[in-house]
Amino acid sequence: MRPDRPGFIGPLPCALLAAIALRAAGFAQAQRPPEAQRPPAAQPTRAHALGPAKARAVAEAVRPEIVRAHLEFLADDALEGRGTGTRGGDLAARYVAAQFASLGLEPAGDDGSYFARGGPMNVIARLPGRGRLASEAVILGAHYDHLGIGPAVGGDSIYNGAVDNASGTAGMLAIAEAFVTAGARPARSVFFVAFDAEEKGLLGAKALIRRPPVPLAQVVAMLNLESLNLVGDTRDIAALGADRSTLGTLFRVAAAAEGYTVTPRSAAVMQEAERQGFFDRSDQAAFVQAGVPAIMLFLGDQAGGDQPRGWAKRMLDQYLQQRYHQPNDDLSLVGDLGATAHALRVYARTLLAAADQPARPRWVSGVH
Amino acid sequence: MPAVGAAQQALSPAARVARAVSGDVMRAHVDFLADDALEGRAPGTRGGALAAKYVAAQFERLGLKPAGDSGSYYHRVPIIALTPDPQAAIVAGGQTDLKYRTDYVMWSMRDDSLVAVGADLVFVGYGIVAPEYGWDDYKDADVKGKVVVVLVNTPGLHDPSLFKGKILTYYGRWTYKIEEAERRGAAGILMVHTTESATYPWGTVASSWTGAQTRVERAPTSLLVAGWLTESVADRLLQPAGGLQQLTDAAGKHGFQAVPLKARLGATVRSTVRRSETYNVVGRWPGRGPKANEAVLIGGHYDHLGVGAPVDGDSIYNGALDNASGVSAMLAAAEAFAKSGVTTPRSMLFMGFAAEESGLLGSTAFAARPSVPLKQITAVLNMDVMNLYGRTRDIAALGVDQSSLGRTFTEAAKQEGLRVTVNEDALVKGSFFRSDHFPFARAGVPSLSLESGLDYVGRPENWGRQQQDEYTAKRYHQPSDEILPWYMYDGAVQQVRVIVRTAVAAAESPPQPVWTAGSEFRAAGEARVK
Repeated sequence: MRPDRPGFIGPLPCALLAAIALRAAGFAQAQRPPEAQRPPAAQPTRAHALGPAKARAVAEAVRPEIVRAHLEFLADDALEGRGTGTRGGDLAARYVAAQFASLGLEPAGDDGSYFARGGPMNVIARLPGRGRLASEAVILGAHYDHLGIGPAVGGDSIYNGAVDNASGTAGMLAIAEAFVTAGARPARSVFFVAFDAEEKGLLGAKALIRRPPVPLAQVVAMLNLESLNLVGDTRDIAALGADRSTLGTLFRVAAAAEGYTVTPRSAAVMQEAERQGFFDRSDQAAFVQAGVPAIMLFLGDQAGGDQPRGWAKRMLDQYLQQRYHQPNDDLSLVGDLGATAHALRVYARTLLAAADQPARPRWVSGVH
Repeated sequence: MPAVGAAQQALSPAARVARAVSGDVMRAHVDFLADDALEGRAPGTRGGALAAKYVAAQFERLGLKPAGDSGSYYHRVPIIALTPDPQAAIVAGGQTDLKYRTDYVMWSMRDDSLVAVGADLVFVGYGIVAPEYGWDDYKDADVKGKVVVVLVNTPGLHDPSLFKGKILTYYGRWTYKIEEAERRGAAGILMVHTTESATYPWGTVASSWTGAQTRVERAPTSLLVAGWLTESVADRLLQPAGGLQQLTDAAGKHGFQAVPLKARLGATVRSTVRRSETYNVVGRWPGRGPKANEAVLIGGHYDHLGVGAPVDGDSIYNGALDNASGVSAMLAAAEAFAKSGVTTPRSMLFMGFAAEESGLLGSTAFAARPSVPLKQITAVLNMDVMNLYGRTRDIAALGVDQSSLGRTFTEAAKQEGLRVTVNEDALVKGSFFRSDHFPFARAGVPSLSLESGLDYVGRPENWGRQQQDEYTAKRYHQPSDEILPWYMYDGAVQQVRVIVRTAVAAAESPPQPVWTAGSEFRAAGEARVK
């Protein structure tokens, strides 16, 4: 994700560095409330689980080990922070292309390859649609670039961007694999896109909009995966921008099918997202500006499992204050990815619905 | 789960795995692993580490369980490189100093920067102990703490009725000579070079054994030094006992007795020592039932030569065929199990071998210190260089003559409509002893290494042989072993389908595979399962 102002990247004050030693999970452990006060974790109830068979098959095929595999590769020091135009960035792009190819997805970049050439190196694959809506497209995107190698902090100069945005890229690949594994062939074509140069100002997204794989008028929706929640599950879940278009309705149905409620705007994490202008700071913003309804997956507010009240907001604050655009946004943040996979299932369902339902998503009047 | 059709349910587990083998998957992995971005995947380099991480990521993605060290996918390969600087003399009455490189080469068998030996010399003929041929060159010989002088190759070289004639058995390899001397408690070994017996000239010896000697770290044994003598130096040394020709003749006959030489070797080897490490990558697709702790291993090495001397302006040795293709085939086999969901009574182990090009170091290290006990590994199927030239009517494997896996492989090939051809040339050259399945074979685990067929569909009769010869002449171990636009994967899919069928059959069959009666590895195999 882009900083809200230039010059945000920089060494942290020493006091904050000391605080980094408090690993997210360990900190939460110390704050654990007594058993009785804990709210139940979100679980798909029997009623919820009985969604349409195809959606359920796709959702169930989103596996945490797939997310972990891609995340651990992309955020490894060997990828050197995936800076745009660096060999680490190049490797990340080739890695994504190899995964698309192994899944049998069609190349949708230039010259029959998965790569966009002559600008940001977006990596683009297509799952072709079926029937009369096949010429329309839904995009699932995630930027794969991060900051590369930069000023050392605590002796570490590799800005791994595990959360920002190896996580989103891994999630996008896991959903792509789930569509293939489940044999889902929705009506509209689905484009899976790993965007380059987000950190440079959404340049990859802007380049794709300038030269889209299908005419922009046929792109009916864009779903973005940016900086996923890697630390633990919530009872509710949010998508930024959900209130601006009917994608919000699809998201709500998908969330319910996975046993989540949708986070209200009044919730602390949503207030923070608004205050920080998160929705305008990642690739979906470029699509919204171009008139394409778009959402960005966000975390919920109410801690699931045995986490205390206010936990999600505290995790968000900790990440933003101590890890965001720092070398320690790295694999030490990766815990049990069950929660991440659970959230991704909501997105997989939303994507399938957006690609399959007869009506195009439309803007909700008065908001946009 | 998607509904399973009646037709699919009727298929055997082996057929279900075979059907799930995907050429797209193989191509995707080769395209990544042989890309210039991987810089030739040399051990200890960034490209090598990236390749290992890629294999591990695929294992994890497919749901394979870590089977390396301490719950990870990685199995450590400790490498030591010794650059020897020896001094040696023969003491027989007077002292004859030997000239390094001109008269002899020598290296340390210990992981130490200085070793010294002063010991009596004993001529032990071919240095072979082979019960299945009724042969024992060490019979009644006391070589403990002594230096053995030994001929390479086997008596079959000059008498086709002995051993397998011109077909090289393991007893002919120099590695065997060292291992046997070690088992006998010798302090040193000097191998006699002749161009005929070694199959390469002294120049090859002088260049191959003088720079850094890279090998796996090892616990000390009785052996302190090993080396080669030129034919003329050996002849002089053996003169009092009759000379090289006469002793070679004697050594080629049943009942040969070792000859103590009235001479001593005095030698010191100083070495500069450099240590490094690399990693095998190991994942398990668990079996089900009481035999699930046993496993069939499918492997291929992921390393290649890295960045080296430029040829036509290209310095990246991509190793697309050697062996991005084999490790990708291994991953495609793993994916076929994961996608078909087939589990077998024995587990499957999938392994990306490290540092094959440096001398089978990854597989050697695994056999020496396995993260899965060798006793539980019942078969090894290795893939080194796949067929990317198209569909064939035949298929081959090194080792089909050695163990009951040969019959399993032949049956699997038949199921895929392929006949098994035997590569005589490979038998003469001893190719079976030169890839990653071999350290397992030496430790008694029945093993095969997949080869390409030569009878290509829609091609003239000699086309396959021509392609192989051209690869060997022009691209083998060159920067031009890179992805060629016309490479196709349908032939490789045939090969992997046979491999997974062989693996499933070996994993299902109640008895473990066994070595054939005439195999030089039968004794090790019997010792392994005891």
